Amino acid sequence: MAIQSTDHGAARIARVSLHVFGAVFGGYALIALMVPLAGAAMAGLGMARSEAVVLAAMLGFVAYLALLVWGFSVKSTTRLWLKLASGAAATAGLLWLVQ
Amino acid sequence: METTFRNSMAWLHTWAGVVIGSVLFAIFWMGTLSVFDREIDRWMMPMTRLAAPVASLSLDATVRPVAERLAAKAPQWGVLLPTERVPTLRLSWRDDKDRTVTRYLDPATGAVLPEAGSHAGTGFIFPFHYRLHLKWMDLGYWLVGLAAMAMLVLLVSGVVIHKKIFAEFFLFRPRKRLQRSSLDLHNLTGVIALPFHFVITLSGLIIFIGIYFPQAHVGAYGIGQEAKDQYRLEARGGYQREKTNTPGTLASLDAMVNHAEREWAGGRPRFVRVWHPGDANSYVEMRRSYARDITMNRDQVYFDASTGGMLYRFEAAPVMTVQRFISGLHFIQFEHWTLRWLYFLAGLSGCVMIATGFLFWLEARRVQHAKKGLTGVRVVEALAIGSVTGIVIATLAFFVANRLLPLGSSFAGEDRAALEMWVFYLIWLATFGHAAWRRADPPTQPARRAWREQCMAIAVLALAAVLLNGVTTGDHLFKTLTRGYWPVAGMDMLLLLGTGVALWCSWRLSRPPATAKTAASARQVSRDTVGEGTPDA
Amino acid sequence: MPDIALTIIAALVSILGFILLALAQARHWAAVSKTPVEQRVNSAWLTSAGLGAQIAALILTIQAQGSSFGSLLWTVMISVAAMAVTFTLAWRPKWLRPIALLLRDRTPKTPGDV
Repeated sequence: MAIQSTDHGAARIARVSLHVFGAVFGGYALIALMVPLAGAAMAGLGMARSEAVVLAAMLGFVAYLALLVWGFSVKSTTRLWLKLASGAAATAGLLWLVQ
Repeated sequence: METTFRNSMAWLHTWAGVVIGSVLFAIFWMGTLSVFDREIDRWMMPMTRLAAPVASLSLDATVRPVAERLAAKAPQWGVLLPTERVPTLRLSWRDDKDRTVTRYLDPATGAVLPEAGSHAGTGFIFPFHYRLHLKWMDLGYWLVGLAAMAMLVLLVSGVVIHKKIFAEFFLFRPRKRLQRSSLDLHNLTGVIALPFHFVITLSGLIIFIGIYFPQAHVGAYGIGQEAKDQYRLEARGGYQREKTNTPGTLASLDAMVNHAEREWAGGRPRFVRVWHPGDANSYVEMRRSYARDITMNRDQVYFDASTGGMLYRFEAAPVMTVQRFISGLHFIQFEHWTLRWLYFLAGLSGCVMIATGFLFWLEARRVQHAKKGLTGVRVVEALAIGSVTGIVIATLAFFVANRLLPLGSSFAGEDRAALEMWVFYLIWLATFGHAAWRRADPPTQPARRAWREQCMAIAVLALAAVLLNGVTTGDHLFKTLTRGYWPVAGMDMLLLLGTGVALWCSWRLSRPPATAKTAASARQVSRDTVGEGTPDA
Repeated sequence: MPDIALTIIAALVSILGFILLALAQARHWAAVSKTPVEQRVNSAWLTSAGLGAQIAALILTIQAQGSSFGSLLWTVMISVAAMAVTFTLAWRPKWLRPIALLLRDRTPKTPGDV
């Protein structure tokens, strides 16, 4: 569902809140999963482990910024949640495999 | 979420600004003050107003006797060495109730200075900046982190929606009506200082990768405490060994300092810690000074306490060094007065950016809300006033309380340092109340009375702080200027400058808007007809 | 000390560069100078010179303070310089008149070559 210009009052607040919540907290959850995965990947490619982890964490903020800008430009709240959730699931799966 | 990308960014910029603006102003205000936190310390803790540090400091002669007297039974004691901006030694140890005790020493004599009874700049203002003194469940850290990400989003969205970013680069029209001139100033402080705002915000986040991405290591190292400890060891270094519970001696600390300086090719130590003092397995940790480089190095050397022999040495690896360089860009612990002042000015520009953002939003929505009977503008206005002039008033009240409260005072179980903080919070709360009480009347006009009265309060409190410093410590401005004691002179001068600015603002706000417009248009007419020779307004 | 003098020169070069960048825009030229904008040096030249001045300032600060302190100093310094020029344009534009006098170019121009 997208936030329609005809929505008013409580319905609009609910949809906007869901969108904001998704972008901010869902986005953070996705990045928080991607950072350790990126750390593992870079370590696997030959970087020293602690170095890979620090690099992944620093890049995490930049990636989160990009994700937030994208998240707030997506028109459909449903699509936002679906993409974030599937991304998180895939990342969590890969992370579990790496363990 | 809107029809076009630009519209989405406009919505995002507006809402993020209105919702997070108060927290952002607090962070930027306290951060700007923190540039001079050590100088604020000198001002608020007069007993530490010592002469420049002695070049050849003997730890064995000055620190060791005191540590062995006061911290004899502590599991560890540590000392922060004097720097260009901190003339004292700072000795700290864990007492038997596992609390950290701190004492300042005079490096010339080793004398213990009287207790300051104040958290001052480094203990209150600086920590407020990065964790808002909200310790419960690290809420402060997370709120600051959220605000920082919001700031990055605000900067990006701000650039996207600023259509005429180059054409309006140098544009500031202070004589236009408030909505236009505040938007001009907001755009100007935002765009011209954009590199600073972006780097300072991102670097602030990067400092805390350990807090904001606490599980970053689980992919490469695995889960559990051992994995975390291993990561910490590889990233940050560290050495430890258990105590033997048999007595041991402590060799010359000065000799160990010399050894460390040779290891660091002339770099001096900033911190020395003795682990398990008095034990056979006691060891001495030394960390290197930040004075010369932007990078906040992780260089460390550990010595065996009884022999003085080196046990361990660590330097950060390249990527870690980058993280420490970026952290150093934010912390600015290096010796460089020009950069320190430039950061201060840039920080102030950030505060102006946030405040003018509020002012613009309020003016742009004011008439609409009044017509529709909405309360949004009135609520946000009260919050904005409390968040902007209010926090400045609270900070000045903190300084004034510092000069008025007698040393060693306490009330209702709170010690003097805590009482100063109470003054800050209670006054800050009161400024919100004042802003709500003096709300705009009629609602189509700004809340001039509230802004004006708070500006007057700022002027009065800043002047009071300067006068009280002179009266209570004897280090009035004439004395500090003639003797060249810059930390206190600088603080007093900035306070006086603040008084002047606040008075000017208050005067500008007391002129009714109608008169200002008539006067401006009259001047414009005279400029057009008479041309040159008309004095600039 | 040589590096303080060089740093000050770098700051002045940067400020001058921003004045040129500002005067390249017709609105600011008109606020500063009575000469019509068609009789001013070409805006492309002014913009290039203004940007070039910032690069020159960077080179000077690196020379004065080393590469890391120099480039950090430059990054913050140019913001302060640009703001100084902006506030001068807002409150005392006539102070920039002497520089505008040097930028007059009364040679006839083809239309659109401003």
